[in-house]
Amino acid sequence: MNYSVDNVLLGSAVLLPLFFAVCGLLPRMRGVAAAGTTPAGAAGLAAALCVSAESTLDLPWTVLGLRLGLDETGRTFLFFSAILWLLAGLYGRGYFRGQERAWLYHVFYAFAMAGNFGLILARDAVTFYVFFALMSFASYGLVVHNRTDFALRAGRIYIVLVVAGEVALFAGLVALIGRTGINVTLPAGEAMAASPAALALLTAGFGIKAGMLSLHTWLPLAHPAAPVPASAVLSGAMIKAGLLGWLRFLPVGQDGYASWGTFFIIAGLAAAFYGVAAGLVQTDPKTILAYSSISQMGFMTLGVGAGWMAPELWSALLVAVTVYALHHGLAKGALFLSAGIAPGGMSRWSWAGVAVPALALAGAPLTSGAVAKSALKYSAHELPGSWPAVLGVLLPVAAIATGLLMARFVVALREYHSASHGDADRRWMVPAWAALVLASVAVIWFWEPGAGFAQGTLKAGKIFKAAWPLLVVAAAGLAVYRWPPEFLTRWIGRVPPGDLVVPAEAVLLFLRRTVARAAGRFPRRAAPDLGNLVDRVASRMLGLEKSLGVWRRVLIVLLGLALLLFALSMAAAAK
Amino acid sequence: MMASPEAWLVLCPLAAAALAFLWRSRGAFIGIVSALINGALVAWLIALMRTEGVRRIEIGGWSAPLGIEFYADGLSPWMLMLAAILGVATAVYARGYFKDPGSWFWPIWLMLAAAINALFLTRDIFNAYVCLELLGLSSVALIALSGNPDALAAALRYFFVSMLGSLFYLLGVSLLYSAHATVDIDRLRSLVSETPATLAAAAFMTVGLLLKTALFPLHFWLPPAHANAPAPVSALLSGLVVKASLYLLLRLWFEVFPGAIFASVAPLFGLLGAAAVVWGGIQALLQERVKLVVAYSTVVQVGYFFLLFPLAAHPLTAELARQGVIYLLLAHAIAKSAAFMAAGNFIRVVGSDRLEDMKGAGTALPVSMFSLGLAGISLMGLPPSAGFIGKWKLFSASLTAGQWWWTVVLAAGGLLSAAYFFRILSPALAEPSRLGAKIPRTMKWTPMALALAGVLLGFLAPQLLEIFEIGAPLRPAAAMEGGP
Amino acid sequence: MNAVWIYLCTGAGLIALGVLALVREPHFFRKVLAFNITGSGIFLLLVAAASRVSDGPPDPVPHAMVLTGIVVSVSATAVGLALAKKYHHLTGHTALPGEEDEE
Repeated sequence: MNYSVDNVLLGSAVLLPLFFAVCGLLPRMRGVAAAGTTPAGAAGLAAALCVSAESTLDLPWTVLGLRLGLDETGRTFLFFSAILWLLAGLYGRGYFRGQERAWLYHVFYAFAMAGNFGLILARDAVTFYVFFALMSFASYGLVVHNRTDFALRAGRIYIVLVVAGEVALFAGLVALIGRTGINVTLPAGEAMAASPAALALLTAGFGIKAGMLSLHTWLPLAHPAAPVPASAVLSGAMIKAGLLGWLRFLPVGQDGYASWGTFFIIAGLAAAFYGVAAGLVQTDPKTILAYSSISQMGFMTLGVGAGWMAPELWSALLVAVTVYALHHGLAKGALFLSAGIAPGGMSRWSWAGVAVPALALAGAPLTSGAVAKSALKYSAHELPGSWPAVLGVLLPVAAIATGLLMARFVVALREYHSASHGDADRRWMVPAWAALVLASVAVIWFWEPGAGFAQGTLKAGKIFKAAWPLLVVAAAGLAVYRWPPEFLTRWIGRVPPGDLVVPAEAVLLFLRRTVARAAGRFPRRAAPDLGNLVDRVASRMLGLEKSLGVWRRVLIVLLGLALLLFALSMAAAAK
Repeated sequence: MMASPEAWLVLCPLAAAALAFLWRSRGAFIGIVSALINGALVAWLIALMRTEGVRRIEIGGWSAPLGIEFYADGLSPWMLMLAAILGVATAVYARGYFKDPGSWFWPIWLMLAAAINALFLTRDIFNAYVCLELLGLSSVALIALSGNPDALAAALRYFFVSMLGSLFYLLGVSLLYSAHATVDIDRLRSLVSETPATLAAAAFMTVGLLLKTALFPLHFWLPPAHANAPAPVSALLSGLVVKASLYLLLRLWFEVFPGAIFASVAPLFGLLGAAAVVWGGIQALLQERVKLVVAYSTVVQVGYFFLLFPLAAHPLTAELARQGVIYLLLAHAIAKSAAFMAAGNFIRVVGSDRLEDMKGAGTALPVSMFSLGLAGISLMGLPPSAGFIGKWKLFSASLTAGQWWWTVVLAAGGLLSAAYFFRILSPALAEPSRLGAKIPRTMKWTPMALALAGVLLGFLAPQLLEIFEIGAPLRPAAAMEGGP
Repeated sequence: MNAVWIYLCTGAGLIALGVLALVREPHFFRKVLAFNITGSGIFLLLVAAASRVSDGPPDPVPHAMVLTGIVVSVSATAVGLALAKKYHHLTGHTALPGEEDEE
């Protein structure tokens, strides 16, 4: 009996969002998609809370033979993701009130939700990939929803990286399946060991989603460009899918990958610091949050790398990374949602609702952040070589830096005016946001893997240890508040949102202009602009095409081709 | 004979065609039932072949050369499967598209189905000629179906092209028969040598079939013919009919003509294929009508198929290239017919076929929009679609063979197709407009199902390719394997 | 062998004539006629091939093929003429759009 209830829960977590998404496509049922995000998100939450660990749902009759199930890691991921999707969905119902195109948003939202839940529940590689792709492509619709130039540019960059990521993932999957056959059960670490090419391809493919440094450029553009509730799920839930991909596919915790471990630790540290540095000089609070996400994902990357370097620590580190994902997902989601509340006026209570998750991200004592960070630090002390010493210095510095970034965010939020349109209904938005803030505070104390660490952080000594970086931040925060952000740009330099993409775009633009200029110089007599040249080349091409179809030439081409074939084969025969 | 699906595969659509002709008011019903039976027969044949391997059946107990033999190795059920999938999809779509259930579409289409099934089963180059003619004539009639002057002109042009191609092919057949006194592929394979008569026959048959396959620079007739036909007919012509002559060409070059000349002719095919990819892509970008864009994309895809020749000439990459092109055939058939059907829906709702009139069509028809996007994914060759599997295999084949320049062609083709699909999709995604026309549900969901299948088939590659490898088809003659 | 050569040469001549006319003549009727002539030329080649068995009765297979070929070309002629007639009826033209201009 229990078994079948589990199956219904597993199935509905994936099928309900899909069902509502498809409903939304039908003209007469558009409203259903918006209302449907609530039950769909609730189905995911129910699965995370109620499904027992052993149950799996096999759907061999589907084309690909889907297999769904839930392990402890997946349960935590599903838990916080479902909370985010559910609450951001409720928030969205108010946020988009009165907007004509809102139904389209909800359709994409439901598709992306189905993808996110599905990939968490996937028990084999192909299922994971399918849902990952569904989520990635559907969230393009979320990024470009506003249809502003900014959103469209962000969407272009996002879709290019998504496609690149999909190609890398699929190629990696093909390489993996080539060795092992189509049925790769997750976690696939052992199967992966056979194929270094698959390892590199999957690292990069998931790295794009997880905002790994140099693959992160879509993040600071897409998150601010998307509507507020979409940013919350993008940053809170969807980028964690990249992390989960690593956990599911890479042979973390196995011997013989020390160099990969070093690479991941260094990449993680680089992202952690770079994200803060680039974020500090931004003015849009959502861009600041996006950079903060890059920085925070860096800590999780570091955790994965540590597990690779010291396989004996992996079981502890896996829990630590999972708890970190839980903490960051909920806190970051809450902060993003506040960006839609702030322009409409904030009470003192509301500012407390901003401050709590911001403090949590900075790792203040008694918050989820302190729990997550202590879990990570605990294992970092046991790493081989000089890593404990290095991390012993760098991690507190990073915590201070994060604190600064959060201070910068609060300052920027005070001056924030846009991001919400006139008809938005705060009666949906404020409660959903408040619920998410509460969840981000409370959940860590009750949720099984987090609660264990949480007890440990309650000791007085630990509280002080977690508090001292914050005291530094308080002092520095005052400074940030007094001299924003010119003071910082002098130290860091100007970083346009999307950093690396900007020079790349500039190069492309330069090339285009140069070509246009050269083309303008070339045909002296004609109007010297590129558009005209293109038109002329085009009409020339069309003319040529037409002339290929003239009957008389057809015979010449036909006989000429026959003669050529004959001559070629005679020559080969003569050899 | 009763127990052989091969005979039924030809008889069944033929009988259905006669029935639909006599009982025109029930044409749609007869067509759909026949398409379903056809699907079941193909499944039966595949099941039989999985246990028995290659099958050879003598019709009426007469053996070749006087009697007719049916032969099926892995390539035959592959092509039959393709025809069966498109058959069911087209029948369902056409039932909504042609409001009159007694449309001439049904008997003519069933005739076409019989001809194409027979072509994929025959092992006799003269029979293949008869099937090709029957196929050509029914296609001509289908193109002319709408009866407007543009369609009639396109049909006439197609008719003359088809005649010219068939005559060249028949000339080659008669030369081969004069030289070797047989038309059976296996017997010819053991008899042919590099005599001038054989080589001349090869040249004539090849250009005749190239003309029918619409390989650049002989593609001029394809875009108007495919663009002026009714949507379900365009779907069939682009998805299936073009591949019939290609099928014959592959059979001839891999299984009949002397292996010694293969390697020297192969680069020419590769070059023409590459030119088709680039030229077709550019032309597709320049078109102003939706169906012309989709039709030029067929010119591009035909180009990809011909990359098989240079890559198969290399012993290390022959298998990879063969599988890649075979998968591309499947991917293109499914995605292209989905694209034509979705485009047909847009045109029905908008009332015009011009790109500039497509504004907002996507909001009126989100399902069709989505199907067109999915079909585009497969045609561009993005993962996980079937098109990606095909291109990926060709890509690795070119790298393994050391012929990296084909990878440039593949990449350029992918980029160009992304660009021209964007040209259709971007106006359709624009702000909504009030478009009233309603279209039947079957017309909405058939292209969607096809396009989804095209994307998901990428995952079934290993299992499906097992079917194709039965009896090891398209293995070049022994001389070539050791050749240059 | 003389008779065979007569067949072969006539066949080749008809094929050349037919293909040339098929491409050069814009009028539908002439085009249809042209491919019939080309077809006849090819049939002559096939009939000549029947005599390749030097002693004994001629090979029956080419004759069977020619008969089949004639049936095919008759039906093709019918389709072509019907289309041309309909096109002429609708537009008043007797040649394909691009081709009249060339003459």
